[in-house]
Amino acid sequence: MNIAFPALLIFLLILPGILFRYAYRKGFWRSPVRLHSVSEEFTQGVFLALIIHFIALLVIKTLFKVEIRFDSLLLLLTGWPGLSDQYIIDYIDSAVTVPYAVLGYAIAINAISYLLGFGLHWFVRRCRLDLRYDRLRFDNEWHYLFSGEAVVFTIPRKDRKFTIIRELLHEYRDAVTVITCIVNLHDASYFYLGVLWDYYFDRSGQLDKILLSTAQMRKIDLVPDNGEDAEETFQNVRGDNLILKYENIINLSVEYILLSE
Amino acid sequence: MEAPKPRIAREIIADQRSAARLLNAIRKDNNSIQFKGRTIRIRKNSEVLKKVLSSDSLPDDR
Repeated sequence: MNIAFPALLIFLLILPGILFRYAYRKGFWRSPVRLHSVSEEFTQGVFLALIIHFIALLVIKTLFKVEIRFDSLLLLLTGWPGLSDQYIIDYIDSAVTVPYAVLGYAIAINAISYLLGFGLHWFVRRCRLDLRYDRLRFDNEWHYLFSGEAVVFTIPRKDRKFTIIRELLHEYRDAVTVITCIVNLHDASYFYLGVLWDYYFDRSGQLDKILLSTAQMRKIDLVPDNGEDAEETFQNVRGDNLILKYENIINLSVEYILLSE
Repeated sequence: MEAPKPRIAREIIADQRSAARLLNAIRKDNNSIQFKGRTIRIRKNSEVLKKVLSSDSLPDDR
């Protein structure tokens, strides 16, 4: 038997685990999911797929009284050396007596896995479990930093109670994120200061650009010779928004300013 | 899920001159700015955070 078939079958079996993991990590985030090493993705995909298939088959067996032929699956996966292709085709025909059920299972299990992953992401975010427990924190540090949610991490872990987190985030809803950064342009460095409006990622999930609203700037080595404070040499940047490429930013400071009447 | 920006902040940022005044106030450590006849308080420290961190809880031993 062609080795491509067992490989394809293995991929189809792992797919629910991969989809669940992807949907959980992606959720509502705008940033692309940062992929880990192939071995890590594969291992975690296999582990999750095993759990998903185990539960799904248990449900099917209980509800529809269907006998699951694991020996057939093993035969298809291994290719069973020595057996002729015709024998295997006949075996598949006899094992898969209801092909629509197999196809339906494949489609349903993948769709359910994706939705479950998405649902779990929603649940974790909704209950702020990612802010409460470090292990549940998503791989999206820029969101935590720019949205102000990172302030929760300054609270000792045992004090991160749901009510405190809610109260803190409520207070930070009236906050603006102010960015101060040093940007290297050609042969000079500049201080930029502005209110963060938005940010964008590249395809690999790395921060690509930040968008500042109403920015001010000054050349970093500009020292006024008239005794004026260097702070006074800041100039407003014309335009509604200023886009800074992350690759040009040498360092970046984030400050949350709380506004209230 | 991106949190919507608060109303006061949006209003201030939408108005370039007010936003520039806000940045100037932040640089000069001023506590407030005037915006449409209203006094907008500027704070850098959270009351909730101050309360939590100054409570009797011991530092995390992580």
